[in-house]
Amino acid sequence: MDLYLPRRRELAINIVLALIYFIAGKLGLQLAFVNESATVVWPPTGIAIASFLLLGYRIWPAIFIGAFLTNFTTNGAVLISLGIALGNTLEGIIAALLVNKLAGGKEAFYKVSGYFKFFLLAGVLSTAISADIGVITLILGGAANWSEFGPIWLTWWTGDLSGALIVTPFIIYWSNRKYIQWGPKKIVEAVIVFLALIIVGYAVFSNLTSGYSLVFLCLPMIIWIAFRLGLRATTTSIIALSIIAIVGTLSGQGPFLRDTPNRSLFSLQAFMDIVAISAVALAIAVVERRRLDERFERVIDNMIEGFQIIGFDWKYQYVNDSIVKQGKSTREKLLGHTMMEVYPGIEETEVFAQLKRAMVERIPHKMETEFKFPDGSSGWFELRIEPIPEGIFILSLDATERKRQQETLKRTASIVENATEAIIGKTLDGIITSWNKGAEELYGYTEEEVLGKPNTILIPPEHTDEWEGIKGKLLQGEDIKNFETQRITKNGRVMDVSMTYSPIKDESGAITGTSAIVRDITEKKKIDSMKNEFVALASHQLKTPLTSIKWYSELLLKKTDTNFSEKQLQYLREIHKSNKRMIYLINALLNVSRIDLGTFIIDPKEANLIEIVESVLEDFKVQIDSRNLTIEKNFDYSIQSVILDINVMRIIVSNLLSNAIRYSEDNGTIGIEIRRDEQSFFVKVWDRGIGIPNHQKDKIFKKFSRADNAMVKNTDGSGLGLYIVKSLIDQTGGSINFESEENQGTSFTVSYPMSGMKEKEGSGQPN
Amino acid sequence: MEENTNPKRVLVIEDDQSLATAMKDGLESSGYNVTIAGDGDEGFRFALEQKPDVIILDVLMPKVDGMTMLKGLRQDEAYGKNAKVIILSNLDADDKIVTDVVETQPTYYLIKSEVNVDGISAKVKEVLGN
Repeated sequence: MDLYLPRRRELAINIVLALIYFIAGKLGLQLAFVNESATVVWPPTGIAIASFLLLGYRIWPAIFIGAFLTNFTTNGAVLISLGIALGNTLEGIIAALLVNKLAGGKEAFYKVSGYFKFFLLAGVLSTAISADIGVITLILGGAANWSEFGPIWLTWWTGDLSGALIVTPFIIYWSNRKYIQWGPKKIVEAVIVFLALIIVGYAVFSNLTSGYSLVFLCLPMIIWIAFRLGLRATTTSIIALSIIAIVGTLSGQGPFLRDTPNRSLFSLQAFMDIVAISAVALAIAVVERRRLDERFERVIDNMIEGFQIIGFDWKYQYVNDSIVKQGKSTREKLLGHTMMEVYPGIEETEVFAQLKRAMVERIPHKMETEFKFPDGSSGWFELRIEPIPEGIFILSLDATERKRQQETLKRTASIVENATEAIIGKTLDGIITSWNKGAEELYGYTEEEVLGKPNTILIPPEHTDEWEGIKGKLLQGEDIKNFETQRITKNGRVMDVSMTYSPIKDESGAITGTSAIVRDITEKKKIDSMKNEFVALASHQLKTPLTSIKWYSELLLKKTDTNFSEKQLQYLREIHKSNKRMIYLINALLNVSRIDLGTFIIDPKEANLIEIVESVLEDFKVQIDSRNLTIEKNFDYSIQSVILDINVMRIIVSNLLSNAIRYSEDNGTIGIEIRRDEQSFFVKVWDRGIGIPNHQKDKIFKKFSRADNAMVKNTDGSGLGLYIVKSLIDQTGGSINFESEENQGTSFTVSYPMSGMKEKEGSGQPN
Repeated sequence: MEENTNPKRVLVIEDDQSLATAMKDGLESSGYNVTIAGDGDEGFRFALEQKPDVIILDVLMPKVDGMTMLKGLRQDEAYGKNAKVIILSNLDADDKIVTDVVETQPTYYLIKSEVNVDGISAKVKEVLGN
């Protein structure tokens, strides 16, 4: 308890404390009747014990000097005064020491048990030391006789005991810095009860009631104060009553009047000591109880569970914050009202039946229930209903969210379980962790047969190495969609499947496994193959008559010796043109079919890019000339040979070029650029034609997509060209970008890495 | 179209009458002596009988297709093995059917819808020049 105090401040405190002690001592000695140094009213003991407890043992000089001066100025004997001062100081130090060690220091004054320890250790034990030393000193110093030892000792000890009991708690409580927050009502109450105490005290200890022993009339006020007004008020009231009582008794009034003033005061002090012990203990008990209540209330208010107490009259007696929230209500609407008022119709519910059972038959109950609120909403609650003396309490936990999650989980699980697609869960090591009905049907294994087994039982040997690659992609956060491979069923049938993998993540977001959706595409493959054959056959069959038309119309157009009229020649040219367009369309369709089926053979070889572009330009010479278009060529001739599939490159360039020609105005300009940078080479085809409308820019690479303005301008296009171009570029590891402004022109830029086109072998079915 | 006293003989094996006629007309006007065979079987017989200077061969034909006929022809050491053959088809050159056969022997390849009768004549002339 030693506080560090700067020297000057410590000195000041010592002086002030010595002075206070001195004054209190002198006042006490005014009432010394058996010996000039022994009194039954000795507040300095209380001051000393409180000071040692609050400020530490270091302030002993103040107590010692204060005690010395008090006695020296009373009896003038140095040695006697020194002896008494020693006793007074030791008393305080030992009291503080014992209380600090055994009762928890000043905290002892906030617990009933601590207070009683203080009473025994400081009040009864340590005060005896002062009495012993004091009385022996007096006798040795010649200020008293041995025959007087008993009465003087008892007087001395009683004075010290009273001082300790009445004054120490007073100082301790008032030294607590905690601010008292009393509302106006409380203040009025305090003023009234104090006035009552003073009036009654005065009446009891004055001649108004002489002849009647009415001291018990003071007790109701003291108890009232102890119950309702706290520790400070209680100790203050006791001191106030003590003063009134001492003054009254000394002036020869009151119920404690005995044959000598000392005996009178002795009886009075005995009474006051008992009142003090009882009242302070009671006040501490009340405060302790309230603190405990507040603590529990805080806990109850802050817990997630709703807590309510319902009285036998079905009125809410206590509700915590959670129940207010759960009940979608306010404290004001609940407290003091019945359940039936707050929740009309509650009597019809299952919950109420259980509440009633608890209330009437005193049977506790646990349940989970859906509760409908007056506003039409509802929630799930977990309830515990317990009978208590006041009625019942209900502990409730809002289970709505959990219930909803459970429902969602159940629903999802049921969707997965009943999906016709096979859905399989696996760990990253490929161990199967879930297996739905679809999987059972597709593979022929039951759940019990595969759970915990490696997924290799489902994979034909030639595909087992795929898993590492898939795992790698999944770990990088990629989804794998429609990956086509093969799987094997329980009875050994190898099927073509399309797999879609998604990562399974744990709560921290780490990927712990994968879910795979498996579709049997054996049928689809068969159909694709038939479609493939059909397209090949159909296009071949169509091409033969078309070739015939082509050849004959060309033969006719070439015959200069026949006498066709100009009109007839024009008709012939139309036939020839339409025929060529039809051949182009059939070739495009065939290409699309091959691209879609993945049978387009791509075989990159070293080739001269500029030569390819030039030869395509040559193919379009007639059209370019007839439309009087200017071709702006911008070639980087350092690009000699690159790795590419000539056929693919020709298809790309001729489609872009034919679009540029088709959508240019007559006499316009078209540009072709070939250039490179460190990593890539580029082929750019631009025109100043009609451009692509903004809202159709995202569709231009789609199959059969043609911009509105393109259809108006020219009815020719197939809507397949850019689709073919984009597909071929995608399959060969290149990329294509375009810029277009309506009525300003369009430019397409194709780029490939300098390493050239990627090889992509089609499945090469005969067609 | 110079008149040649000893015209080169061309065998056209083509099941489509219309195409065959166009070729016959075109080639004859270029001064070639043209025979037409309607299927692989007939073509095979004519080839071995007449030993033409150039054979123009369709691929997809009834009875015996062009590739089978060509394989048979190449078995014939006396004439067929080194006969000059121009495959004329609407199948692409990279088609498996075609690539199997075409490799070593003197064989040429044209796609019907991409050439015209003049182009065929030019190819025949080119082949004969070799």
